[in-house]
Amino acid sequence: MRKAIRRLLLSFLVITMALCTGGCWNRKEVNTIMIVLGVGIDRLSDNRVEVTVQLYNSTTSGPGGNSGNQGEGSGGGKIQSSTGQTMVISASGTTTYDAVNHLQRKLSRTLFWGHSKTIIFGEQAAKKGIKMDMDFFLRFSQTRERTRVLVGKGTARSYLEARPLVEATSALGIMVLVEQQYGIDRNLKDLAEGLLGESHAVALPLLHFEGGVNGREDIKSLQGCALIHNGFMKSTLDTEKTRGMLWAENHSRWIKMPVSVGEGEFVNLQPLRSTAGFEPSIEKGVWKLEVEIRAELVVLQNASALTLDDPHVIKRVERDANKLIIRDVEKTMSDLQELNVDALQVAQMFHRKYPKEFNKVQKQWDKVFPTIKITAKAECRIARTGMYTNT
Amino acid sequence: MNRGTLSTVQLMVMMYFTIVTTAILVVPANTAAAAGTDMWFSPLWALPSGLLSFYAAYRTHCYFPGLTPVQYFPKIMGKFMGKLVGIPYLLILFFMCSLVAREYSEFITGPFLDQTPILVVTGTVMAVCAYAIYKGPVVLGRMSLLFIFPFVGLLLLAVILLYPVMEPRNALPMLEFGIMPSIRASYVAQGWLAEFAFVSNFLPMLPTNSKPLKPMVGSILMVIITLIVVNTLSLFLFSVLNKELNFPFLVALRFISYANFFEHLEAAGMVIWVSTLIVKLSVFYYIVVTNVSDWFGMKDYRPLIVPLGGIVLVTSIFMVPNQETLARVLATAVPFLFLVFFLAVPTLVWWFVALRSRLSSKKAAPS
Amino acid sequence: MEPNPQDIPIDPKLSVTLPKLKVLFADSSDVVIHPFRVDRSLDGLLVYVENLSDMERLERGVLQPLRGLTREEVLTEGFLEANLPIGKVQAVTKQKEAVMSILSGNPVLFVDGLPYALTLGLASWNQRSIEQSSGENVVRGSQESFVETLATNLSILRRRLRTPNLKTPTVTTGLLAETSLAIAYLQHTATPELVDEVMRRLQAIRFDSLLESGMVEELIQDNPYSPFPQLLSTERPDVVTAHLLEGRVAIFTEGTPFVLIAPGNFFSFMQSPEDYDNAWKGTVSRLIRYLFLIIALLMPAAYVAIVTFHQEMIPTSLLLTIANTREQIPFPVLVEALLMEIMFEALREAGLRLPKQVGSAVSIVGALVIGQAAISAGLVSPPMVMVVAITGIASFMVPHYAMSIPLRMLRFPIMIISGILGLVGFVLAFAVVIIHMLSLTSFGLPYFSLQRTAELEDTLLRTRLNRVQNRTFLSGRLEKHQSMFEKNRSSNNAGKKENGR
Repeated sequence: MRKAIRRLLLSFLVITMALCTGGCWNRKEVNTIMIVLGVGIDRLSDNRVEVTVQLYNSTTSGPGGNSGNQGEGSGGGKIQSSTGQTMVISASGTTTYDAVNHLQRKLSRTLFWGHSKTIIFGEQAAKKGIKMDMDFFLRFSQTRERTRVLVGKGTARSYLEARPLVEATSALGIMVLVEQQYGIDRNLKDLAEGLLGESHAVALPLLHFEGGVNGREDIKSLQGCALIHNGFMKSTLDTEKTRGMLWAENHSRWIKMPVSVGEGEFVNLQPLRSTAGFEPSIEKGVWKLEVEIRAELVVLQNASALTLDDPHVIKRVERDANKLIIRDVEKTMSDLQELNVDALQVAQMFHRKYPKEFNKVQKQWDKVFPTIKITAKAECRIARTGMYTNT
Repeated sequence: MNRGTLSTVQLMVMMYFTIVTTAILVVPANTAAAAGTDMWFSPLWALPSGLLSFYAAYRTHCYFPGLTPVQYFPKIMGKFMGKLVGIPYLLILFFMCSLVAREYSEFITGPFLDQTPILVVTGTVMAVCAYAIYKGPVVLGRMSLLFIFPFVGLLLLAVILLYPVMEPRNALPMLEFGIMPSIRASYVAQGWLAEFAFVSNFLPMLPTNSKPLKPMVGSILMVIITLIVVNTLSLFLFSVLNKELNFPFLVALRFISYANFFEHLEAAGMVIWVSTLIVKLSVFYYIVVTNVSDWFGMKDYRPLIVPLGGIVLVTSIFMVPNQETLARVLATAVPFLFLVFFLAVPTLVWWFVALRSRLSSKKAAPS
Repeated sequence: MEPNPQDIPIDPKLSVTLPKLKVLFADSSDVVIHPFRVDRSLDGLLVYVENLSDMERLERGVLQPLRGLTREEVLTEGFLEANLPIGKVQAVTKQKEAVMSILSGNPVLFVDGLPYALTLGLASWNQRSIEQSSGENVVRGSQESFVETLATNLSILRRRLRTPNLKTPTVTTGLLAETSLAIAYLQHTATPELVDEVMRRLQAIRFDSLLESGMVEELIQDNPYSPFPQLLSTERPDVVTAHLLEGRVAIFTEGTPFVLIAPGNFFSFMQSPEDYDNAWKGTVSRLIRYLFLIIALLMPAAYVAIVTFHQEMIPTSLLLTIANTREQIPFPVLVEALLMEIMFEALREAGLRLPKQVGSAVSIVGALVIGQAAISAGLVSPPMVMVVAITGIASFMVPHYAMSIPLRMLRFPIMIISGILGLVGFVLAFAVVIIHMLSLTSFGLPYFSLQRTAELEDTLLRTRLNRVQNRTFLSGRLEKHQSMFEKNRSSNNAGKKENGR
């Protein structure tokens, strides 16, 4: 027994020693990694891919840490410091990974992608195709399917470099913008599903700069969406034209609804919640899609002479609101059909209901989609008129 | 040597883990490739396979109570033939045990410890399993009972936390190409459920008056339900992406995000999965060791633990060159082997034994 | 062959006995050998140990009455036993018995011509009074605890269990100096197999002298190499009573207030007597205790694994905070954790051993060393201090001290392996601990098993009292699994043979 114990202890010792000397293979101490908060992908004029990352800079806060990280990089990119706790650096390469590799070589610490919140594609990058980039982010085990994906007007890099207005870092700020449902919400999984699904199309939220406070152009906002088809950005829709998509995806909370009730008179409504229903049908060879939006609204401002304690008046406002929604949805749908980008996955809807019919046309979906008759229906209910009835 | 006793509940949970631990890794991706949107109910077609392989093992056991397969083969076919038949049986067991070890190391070195040598990854878990079976199969039974709670908790947690992002409409269209794709897709699940024949190694350990039939059928149903839950979860989350993913359930856990705080739970899920894998690998390891010791007619299986473990370890490293080959083998050859060795062979053995005993009783009756 | 010294009978001639005793007790200043004479012609001898016997009663109850007796009366068999005004008088015929009686405080009376000696039950010595338990405190419930005297302890127990079914046979053991052990059990409640097994193991002990119940525990447990305690040791009479009612056996050792309860079970180490005084609310404190048991064992390891391998699991804002605090720390997380945990263990050990007067000094220095100063010196990060502090508190939440020792001990290997293989190592190391615990038995009873759901009601949970009461808890559950013990005993005996010579 005693011998057995001695043998056990000895083997434990040997194993531990072997493990320790062999190295702790996957160990990465927190102070040997650089936490990537956001990624930007741009295409340079010579068609090289430029990857920009926003990194958390933990050295600045500690005593003796310095924030001067300026200098010229060797891999064909620039290193530039940003304000506060983050720094933004970029590098270019022939492919995404090539650029990431160059980026990594500039740093003494390993990049850690597990907390990357956003992936921003620059306009040029989106136009020249994002499928290859997507492949890298999906294949790489550190990046997450939950990472928000956006397209930025201009270069992706500028958004990461921009100073955040409220949140600690701009990458985080952009993620919060998306979470607030100001626009559509797409993550890496949605992107892959869209591009690999029946329609091969997807819409991504579009980032803009807005004239900022004190003349600084640092305020980013979500305005509209970018339409990606087969991996290439085909076009963009502005905020107004995206509204239909928001209704269709139940992201209606911040849609503005000024119901016009007369010359210059408005009742401002806010959607509390909404649900969208889609009813595809094929009648005598005619493909139809009916979109039905049900919404619950509250009155936020009554800038009109109407008295809202009258049920008839409420009915009338509701009717007008319905029209507004129908207009929004139909506008978006017709735009999508015009551009022939099935970003709302109409193909999937038909596939689910009419698998046989759909499978016949699956190959020529691009020809079928623009011919579908899309109609919208809306049914609003004004739930509350606010704390005061008349003021 | 008395190997201890197991209760029927322990055996039920132990067999559940023996099937389900690797099945939840392998089955969803493979089913998705063949069945598409019908993947969620496809595991149901594996039910007959599980029931039959268990029932055959059980009935044969009734003719030879207290004996393991390698011990009753000689009684059926004569000493020499019995031992001879035992050899391929032992080899397939070796192969399976190495396969489980390899699946583990692929799973760990893929998304988690990619720089750690495979020898260390497999070696450590084999050492833990060796310790477990050194302590006896009773410990395995108790361990299963203990680990069932975190495992079921993990499944429930995943379902609850992922509920908001699940898209039930992904299950449409149903039966797009008829019922055949879902049946064909259940091939892998059928192979896995055939492993229920392993129960013949543990039936002798039950108390003599126990009735394992109902609990074991319960165990088979539990496996099917778990696979359906996991498949449904993957389908509702990833629809078309499923067939592209190596480990859909793992990615599902990655996808959890609750209040921006409970995020990226795949490592926690991995912890629970590894604990159940220890049960599974130990069961396979134990079966290999005891069958070899029974084949040689040894009294105690313990001296074999370390040498056989070493062989399994080495085989697991060299059996396939890479992850792609492993995935291909798991989707094609392995279920076939399982179905042959753990469904067809036990059923034939059962029929043979039943026929022989009926004949001999008829012969005995007139005289 | 020399006759066994235990069996040498007492010589009736005092002239033989007296020199023997004088030799035996030479240089023993506390042993009084007092010759006297009865009826002018009959020699008597009274031997006792000073201060171990009640001197006054010896005077009044033995010496005075003896003076008034005649020679014939004294030499009549049975006369003295019946007539001395003392409660307990016993005749012994063996020398060994007489000597043991003297040493345990009972004076022995030899009379010339009688082939036996009389032991007088006058043992009485200064003993610690029954005080409050120092190790196991409760807010509500009995406050008394056992003392160092075996007889007193048995009396405390008897007072609580007034039933003739309470049996307390004694065993004496010890090669150089003897120690009295007593076991206590409730007849018809404890299974006879268990009682026999306990008796068998106690009688099998071959050891120089047993100083504390911990030594007894080590010598009779199933698996002496396990870090986990396999017998419950307690100084609370109510705990012993409760366990006896469950059908367990208590082992009392002379000279220590700590009583062993066999068989031990993992869950009984996690019970506090107070759980039973708080109705079902005891469940809450129990669950918290189990939670912190796990924290005490695993938290530093989990922290090391997650912070060095799985940073993605940490919420982003928390990770950024940790990144800030760790920036200037010179050590890897594993080394940092080991350092801090070892420091904490050192402080705890120092706090236990040090004289009361300097206690505050250590706690002040300790708090500074592993707290504020270490952080401001940039040696450790604040989250690490938090982890160590929480782990420390958690390890004190285990109601039975013996159970917190393996927790603190096993923390280190789990931490090291987690530092090498991350959460994979973490779960593997934890699995080894679990496998070990699941394979443990105590007197054949599985240490860690919830084979029946009914047991849940008084282990993890504590449901209604009428459901918890479960007298047949142990019956039919004992496995014949004593191989470890048998092996241990044979090697023990072999060792003794060499020493004993």
